[in-house]
Amino acid sequence: MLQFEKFTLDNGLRVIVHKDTATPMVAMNILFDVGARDEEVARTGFAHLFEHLMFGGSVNIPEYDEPLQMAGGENNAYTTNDITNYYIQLPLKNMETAFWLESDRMLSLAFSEKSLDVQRKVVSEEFKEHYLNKPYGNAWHELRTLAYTTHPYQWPTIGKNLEQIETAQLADVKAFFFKHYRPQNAVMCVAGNVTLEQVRELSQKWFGDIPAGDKYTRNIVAEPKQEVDRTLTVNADVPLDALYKAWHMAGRLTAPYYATDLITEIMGSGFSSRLYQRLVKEQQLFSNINCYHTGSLDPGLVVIEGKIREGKTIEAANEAVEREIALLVAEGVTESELQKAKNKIEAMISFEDMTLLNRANNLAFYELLGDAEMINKEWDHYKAVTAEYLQETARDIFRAGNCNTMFYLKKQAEVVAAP
Amino acid sequence: MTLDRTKPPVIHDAVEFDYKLPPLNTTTLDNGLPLYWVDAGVQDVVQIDWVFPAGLWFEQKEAVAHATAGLLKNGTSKHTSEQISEALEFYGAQLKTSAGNDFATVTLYSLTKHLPALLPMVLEILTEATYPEHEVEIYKRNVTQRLLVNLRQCEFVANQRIDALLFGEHHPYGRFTKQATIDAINREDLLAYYKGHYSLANVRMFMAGKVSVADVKHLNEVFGAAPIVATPVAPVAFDHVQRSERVQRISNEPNGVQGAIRIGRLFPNRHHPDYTPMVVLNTLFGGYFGSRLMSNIREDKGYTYGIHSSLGPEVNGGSLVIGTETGRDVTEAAVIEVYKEMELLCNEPADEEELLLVKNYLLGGILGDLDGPFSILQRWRTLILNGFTEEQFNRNINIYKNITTAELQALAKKYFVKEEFYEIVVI
Repeated sequence: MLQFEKFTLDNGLRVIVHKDTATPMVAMNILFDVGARDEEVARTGFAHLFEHLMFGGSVNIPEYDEPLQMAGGENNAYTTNDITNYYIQLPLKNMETAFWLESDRMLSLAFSEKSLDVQRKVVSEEFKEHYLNKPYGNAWHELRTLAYTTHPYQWPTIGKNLEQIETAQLADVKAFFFKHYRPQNAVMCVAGNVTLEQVRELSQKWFGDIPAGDKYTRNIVAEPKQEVDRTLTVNADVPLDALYKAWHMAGRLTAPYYATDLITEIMGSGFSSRLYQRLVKEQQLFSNINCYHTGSLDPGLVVIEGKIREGKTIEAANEAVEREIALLVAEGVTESELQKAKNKIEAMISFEDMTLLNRANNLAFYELLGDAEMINKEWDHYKAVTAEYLQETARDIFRAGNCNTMFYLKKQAEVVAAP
Repeated sequence: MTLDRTKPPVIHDAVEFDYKLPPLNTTTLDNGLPLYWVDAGVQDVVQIDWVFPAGLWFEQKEAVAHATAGLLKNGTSKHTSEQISEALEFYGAQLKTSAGNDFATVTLYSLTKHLPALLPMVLEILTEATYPEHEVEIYKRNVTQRLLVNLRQCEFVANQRIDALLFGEHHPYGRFTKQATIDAINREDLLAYYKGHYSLANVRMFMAGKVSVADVKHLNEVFGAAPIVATPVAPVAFDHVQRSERVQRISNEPNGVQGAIRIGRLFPNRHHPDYTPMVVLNTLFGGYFGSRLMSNIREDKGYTYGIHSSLGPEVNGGSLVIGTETGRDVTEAAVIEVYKEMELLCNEPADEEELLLVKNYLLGGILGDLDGPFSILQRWRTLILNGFTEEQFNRNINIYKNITTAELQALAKKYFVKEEFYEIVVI
């Protein structure tokens, strides 16, 4: 059980306080309710590019990192399809430095041309490093586009392509900031040996006078139900054929979400999982295989991906995966498999809660979902999943028409064009 | 009263704080095996490391150390690979096995409450592994396939090659995985290495988490009752072979859009008096987000997503390596900037304010590290495996707090000598 208290400032900023008396550090986590799903189709990758710009100086503080490092602190940030999260850890005695820095950049950025210019390049290099210059690096670009026809999950957080990042303008940056980075679109969590009163006072002092701004109302068109299976074949300069399969699943705040999480554990997580045992060890069709889900807030994807063992055909590998799926749907799972999956989740929750930063991050995330207290109910949701309900959920996910299959094939000895 | 946001709150310098390594308990099990343990944290979790002198340093045949660790839990005289995975994973536990340059480590992560159910299986793995033939075959094939994919990545190739340049391709620290060496290993090699190097007589055990004497008792009941047969590990020594060209350029992907740069030199290990001062200099140079290299090559020029310089201390030597991936058109420009930044540190003392910042950053990080059981254990493990005591930790803190800009400049002059660096660019 994670203990916490919370309050909301007049400008709408939600603040969670988590007390941990053992640590000499304090963690400050600020989560903004904006991710790649909020981007326009012609400006993808912007939420993530923007995350970089948040480190380029704010209206009253030219350098963000320097004072924080001087205070013995560390920080970083990440962007997902759903949210953007910033976090700091520093010695408790210097807690106010974090309030000073974070409130100033929530007030307004410096909006410097130089910073935009450099970060466009940095993000372009990030794009190249992770998505262009790696075998299979573009697989998720392709898979998302195949699985989502309508919903903005059809592009990854890095963006659809380099061009959209390279042409981002300062005017876009400003508009994005004032649309999404307002107090009422944010949740802050402060964790450490602190009191509610201390945090309230500091929050009021530093964040209290930031204008609330306009409330952003999300207006995303839901992905229509997929009725016909889709197949895509990609040829690329890779050493091995790879298979990717994706099925639409339920959203984060629904009951099937927990059953889905357990299904992916049973199917493809660990050496004793079904897919690993049967397809890597027994039938030896794959050299590796994984099953997981995207865990997104709007309905995400259950994914099975693996590299085909040399000498085996991708068709045979695909059929074997489909047989395992059919078996799951027809016969469900054993009580022992279900218990194992639950035991894994129980351990995972405990390990996740070990660090102060994770706790601060998770509390902020659940508050964004609706109420930080939900974090303490998660385990109950998992425990409540029965084998019958799991099978019912599997039937929904793996129904005919819901599948997207991508054959990612190695090109046979020919010259490959530059990407 | 309006708030003056241009005025920062008072900063308490981390150099003024106290740093005390939380205590380590030492228990000798009934059969004489040493157990080091740390009780900390509030979550009911535990990590146990079994550390053996079974790293690459000791292998007689290439690729054997990795494979012996990688296949450790793939069969015992009593259980199949599948049964072992099931027995561990049923409890939500993870058992990781890996071989590093010097040591091989087996690590168990689990909820504390499941320890009694898990420990007998871990003991069985450590004493009765059988390396079944078909498991070895699957391993070899799958490792080969993974290698094929990795070899298509410039950073992977660059990491392999810089170690080979620094230490020599046949030195354990310079060796790298090749298809031929994987092909050449067999079950007998692995069994022999296992028997010679995974003997309990040479293990050191480390445990951390929310653990008590009751958990030590569980461990003693299983590991303290195991028979110990003295298995001396013969000392091994390597000559540094004559190395090749100082500068190399490799074309790995004709159409690659980035190049991986590695610039490195040999650098002594933790026992050398220059090691700890170099931790400070290296941090300032390329060890954190505000470093000289990051400020120049990422934040000013935008050549890269990241550039880092890091120390690689081993039992028998070590290295200092700068690494980055940049756009293919700017690799040479980035290389020039790296040397420029070295030269600058030789020619001009760092700014006092900058050094204070680095000290505060380093010490703030240590303060954060002393918070969780696993990171506390990590610090102790490093001390013990290197033959140090808590005194070394305190001595290092003292150096972090007191080192001067003049000392850093002298250190830069001694080690940031371009002619002693090897460099490689892989596109």
